[in-house]
Amino acid sequence: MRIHNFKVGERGLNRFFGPLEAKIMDILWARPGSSIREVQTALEKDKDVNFNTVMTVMNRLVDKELLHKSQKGRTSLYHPVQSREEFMNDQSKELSHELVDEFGVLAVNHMLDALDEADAGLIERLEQKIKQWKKDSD
Amino acid sequence: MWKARSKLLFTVGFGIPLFVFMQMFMYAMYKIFGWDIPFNLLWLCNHWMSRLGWLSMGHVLMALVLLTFAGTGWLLFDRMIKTRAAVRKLRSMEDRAISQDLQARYRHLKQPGFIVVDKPSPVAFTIGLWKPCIVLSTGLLTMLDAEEERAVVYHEVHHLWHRDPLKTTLLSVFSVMMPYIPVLKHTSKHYKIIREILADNEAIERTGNAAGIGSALLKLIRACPEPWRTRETAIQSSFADTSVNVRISRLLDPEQDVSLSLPRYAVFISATVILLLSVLFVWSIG
Repeated sequence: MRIHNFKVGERGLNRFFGPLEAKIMDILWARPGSSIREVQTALEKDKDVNFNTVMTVMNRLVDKELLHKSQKGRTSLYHPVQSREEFMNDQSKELSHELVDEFGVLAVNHMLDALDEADAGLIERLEQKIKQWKKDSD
Repeated sequence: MWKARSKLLFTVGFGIPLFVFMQMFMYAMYKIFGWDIPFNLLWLCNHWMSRLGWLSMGHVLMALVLLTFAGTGWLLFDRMIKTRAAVRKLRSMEDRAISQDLQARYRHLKQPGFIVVDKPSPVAFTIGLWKPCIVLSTGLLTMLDAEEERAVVYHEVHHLWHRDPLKTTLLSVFSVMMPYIPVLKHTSKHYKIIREILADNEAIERTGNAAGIGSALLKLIRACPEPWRTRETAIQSSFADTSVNVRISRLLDPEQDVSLSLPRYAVFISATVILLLSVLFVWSIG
């Protein structure tokens, strides 16, 4: 599924969702098959949130085909269409592997190879070093 | 030092397959047209095996020759066609006004070709075998400041000037088609890493510091979905020598000599294959 609104400045799930959408997806990935009331209760551990707001956002996620709705008696239960891993993997492909997926191996040199795995410790050190360089140049 | 390493790796990665191709070509000419070529290693191999009574070895060698030629030709043709199709697709997604703006701003760099695709995700690469061009996305340009943008352009321009997509494609195709010389696979991988380091060096030299390219690299890493991008690690492991980690290590300490050693088994097997052919040669003419 294609996410049109990719936010480059954000991190993690917030790149693909609004803040409330991201929290709801997180809850449903942890407890698939929850009702709106159950999701609202989980959300209220952090901050009060209106039932109707949660319902609107969850139904919007159903419209976007990210959630699937089923009925149990009079209660609607919501399930993520994909697992968190499947979703992130799809988005990752959508963002950086689209050409390779469509055309296969190409004659290309990437600034950052999609298959590379960066060492978290090295990234942290680079971040510190850049801060220091910027401080020195000011 | 990095330039010398790059030349050495390309010479090994290109020279060995070239030698094998020449040998195969001569052998094929001998089998098909009866050319008299007594110093051909494959012919000597065939001759030696025939003496031992392994007559079918000639067919096996001919099959290997045909498979190698056809496979290499097919892989190169396939990558050429697919790359052209990918460039056509990229052109269809192009924001021409921004491409032309970049072309005007970086005209002094031997007029590189730019394709700026209208995509929110960050993208930066050089594509194309014969007429490579630099592909950037609007998302990337929005994300980078002026210094980072210049660093990325200089990095990609280095790939473009040195025809890196063509060279890395050749080495990768040869390594696929000659798995019995495993050193080629590692040569191809290390060559790619060194080309990235040299492209980073180009950006550092032209911008005057490592902050621009370092910061751009960091933003690109951060912009990719996290579970697939980073790993916590306390010890050196197999992925620690991936291109991005070698490059970050170099940016953190430019004086540090990052060792890119070839696995012993690959060198051993490759040397054995070449040595075996040499022994066959000496033994047969002796």
